[in-house]
Amino acid sequence: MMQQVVSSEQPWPLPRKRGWGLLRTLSRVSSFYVKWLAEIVRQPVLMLTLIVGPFLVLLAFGEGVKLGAPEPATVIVTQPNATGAKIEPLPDELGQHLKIVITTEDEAQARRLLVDGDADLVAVLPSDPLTAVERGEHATVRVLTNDIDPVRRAYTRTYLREQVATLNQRTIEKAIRDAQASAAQVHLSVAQARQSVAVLRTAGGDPAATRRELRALKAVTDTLPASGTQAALAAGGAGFVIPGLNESNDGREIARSADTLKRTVDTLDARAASGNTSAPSQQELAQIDSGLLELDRAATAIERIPPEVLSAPFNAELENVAPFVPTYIGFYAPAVLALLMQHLAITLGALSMARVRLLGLLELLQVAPVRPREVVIGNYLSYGSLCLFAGAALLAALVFGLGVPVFGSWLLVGATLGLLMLCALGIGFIISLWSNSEQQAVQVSMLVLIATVFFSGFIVPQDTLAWPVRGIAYLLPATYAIRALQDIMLRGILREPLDLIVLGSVAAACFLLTVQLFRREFRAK
Amino acid sequence: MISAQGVSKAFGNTTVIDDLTLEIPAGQIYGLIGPSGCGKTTVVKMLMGVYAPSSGAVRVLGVPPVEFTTAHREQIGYTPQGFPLYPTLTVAENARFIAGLYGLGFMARRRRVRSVLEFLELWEARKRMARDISGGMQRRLTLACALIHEPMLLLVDEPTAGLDPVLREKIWGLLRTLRDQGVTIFVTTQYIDEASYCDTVAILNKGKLAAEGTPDELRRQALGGEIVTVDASGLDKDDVVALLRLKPVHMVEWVAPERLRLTVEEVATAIPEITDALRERGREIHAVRPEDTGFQEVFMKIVGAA
Repeated sequence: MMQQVVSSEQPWPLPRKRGWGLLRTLSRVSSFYVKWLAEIVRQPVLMLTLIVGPFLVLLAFGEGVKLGAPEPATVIVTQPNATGAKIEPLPDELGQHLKIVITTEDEAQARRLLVDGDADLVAVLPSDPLTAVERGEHATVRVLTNDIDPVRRAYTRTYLREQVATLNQRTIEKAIRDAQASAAQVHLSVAQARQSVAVLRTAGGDPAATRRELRALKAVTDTLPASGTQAALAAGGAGFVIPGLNESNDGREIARSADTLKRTVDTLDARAASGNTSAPSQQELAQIDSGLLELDRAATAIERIPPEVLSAPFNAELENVAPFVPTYIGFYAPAVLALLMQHLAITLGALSMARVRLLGLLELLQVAPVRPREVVIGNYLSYGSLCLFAGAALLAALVFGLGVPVFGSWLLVGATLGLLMLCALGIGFIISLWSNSEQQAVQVSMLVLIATVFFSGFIVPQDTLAWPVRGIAYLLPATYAIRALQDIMLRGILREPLDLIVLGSVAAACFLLTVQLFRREFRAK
Repeated sequence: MISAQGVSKAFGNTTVIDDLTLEIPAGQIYGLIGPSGCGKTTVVKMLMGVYAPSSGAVRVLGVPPVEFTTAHREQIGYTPQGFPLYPTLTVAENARFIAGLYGLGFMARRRRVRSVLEFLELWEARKRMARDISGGMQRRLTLACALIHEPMLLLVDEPTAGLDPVLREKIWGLLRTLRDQGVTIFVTTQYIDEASYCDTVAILNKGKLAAEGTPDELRRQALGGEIVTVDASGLDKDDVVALLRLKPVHMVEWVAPERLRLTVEEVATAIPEITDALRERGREIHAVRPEDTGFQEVFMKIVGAA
């Protein structure tokens, strides 16, 4: 068959290798890096997009977002034939947090505005709230919304609950204030009564003067039980909420003292009216004066507590022990940084092998004297450099451009970003090696991004997620990186060292799996 | 240097290569020729260890390709079909990348890149992006990358596919130069006429080896000998009979009234005898010359016979 046959059964004598093995490995690994560098320096726009883009997004977010108190455009509907008292605090209270666009008696018009999107809320006020309350019923303010957003709906519900609570408190406060006005009346009456008592003490044997002053005293003490009862009700209402206050018996004291005084004065007045011309004894007058003083003291005790305290005895006071309270930009900056780093690394990794396959380069790698681990390390170096550069530039822009603080160790910040980058690149390479096309790789990368946005704690805190959905969060490197970066940058400490250990473990596992997948890719088919 | 014994390769139920046996010595241009889809690329990929044979044994440099070490790979250059390089890198950057993959150090890389690009007349274009150079230059760049590490064995899959005849001639000239420098070259082509550039040719048809030998051997095998064309006046049937009686003449075809096409044992010895015989019969000879038969005919006969 052949003229010149050389046996191929024996190993062919190969020339000596050039250079040291380690240098050759370095040369192979570095060729990926040099190739990448040559490609990347020709794409300044790409670098600009990677760094400036996220920076501007974060800046716009920080400057533009208003969380916490949206002002719903509200239509107030009053009842055309309202007969009862108006809910006085309502417009003032609601006006603080609502934008009242119109007040109308036409509920149909209000509903149209709501349906057309010209109003966010319609508040239909009750026609006769006090009568309803007197009947033992709620005075209901109907609130209409047209929300399809569940978050906004939940917010509206909470907001309404808060507004109604405030309304109730203001109503009680007004009632208490009215009741305390009675205590003031008690003071006035006591002052008048004591003046009469003083005159009676000096009246001596003048029956006409005694009779006149007794009448004046009776006129005052006749009104005292009513004022005392009102004041007692105020104190009693507060005591219902605050048992300790009830134990002081200030309310009952007033009522009892007022009654006692009235009876004493009524007796003296009756005695005078029956023709007995003897003046009240000094002992009787001292007893009346003492009763008046007691009444005055009890009224003072009731006035001592301001109506706003009585109407809302419990108040929540929030004390934040965090070393630093960041702005929205400050709080979201570490998360954005982690999210972008992860997305960038995963996308680059996922597209890396898809591109190599598309170009037909895989075959060249397969037949070249390059080992799978050298290809993997070369790719880690190349794409990792890009990610780290982009991450470092973005971090610098956030810190020096937007004033985002780094209270903790820069080394830990770097370590977190580095480990996150290694994890994400590994995941990207795995996606790449499992994908059959560029489109598939991009789709999977986007899926990871969406999962990260929803589950990593970027938007919704993880503890609000139920199992097993929360498990998805723990599969995402960004979950650990966001928590670690927020702690290191904003608290100054790494509260969960386990976060970095997990990132490191995932990075190592991804590296080994990537090498294994490359080995499989290089195997003869 | 390359040996394949009873090699078959099947993808699923489709057998692409069937019982192929090759023995390729060093220092040759060995051409694997066949129509598109006959399995040439599959053979190359088996020789490179990209595909493992379904049955049979392949040995390259004395070892099965699936067991290649880095030392073996460093001795083999490979250019697959198409342009498998980075279009967004320059010519020199692509060459440097491949040189790096083969472990060349910085200095060696610089030297070899220049040397290979100059050899393949690409040095002037070294700073141009690979996507911006012509198809012929891209093929030469691919070849340059396969040569960057000075391999002793070069496997080239369809190096001239899609190129014009001038560029094809140029590529073959380069391969011959490499062969003369001691490089063993295994090349596939679908251009049948290119067989004549090879030292040994194997014809592959539908995954089977149809013939193997030097171009001349295949020509003889296909045509039954060498071809001589005779142009003379007044030729008749007796002339044909007289020529058939000559020992070197195997066959005579009357292709035109004054032209005969003779299949002879050997042109050099046959032409004087043919000339003498016709003169003796009083014929006026205008020309007796060896015919440079295109390999197309050879291929068609071999494939047709198979």
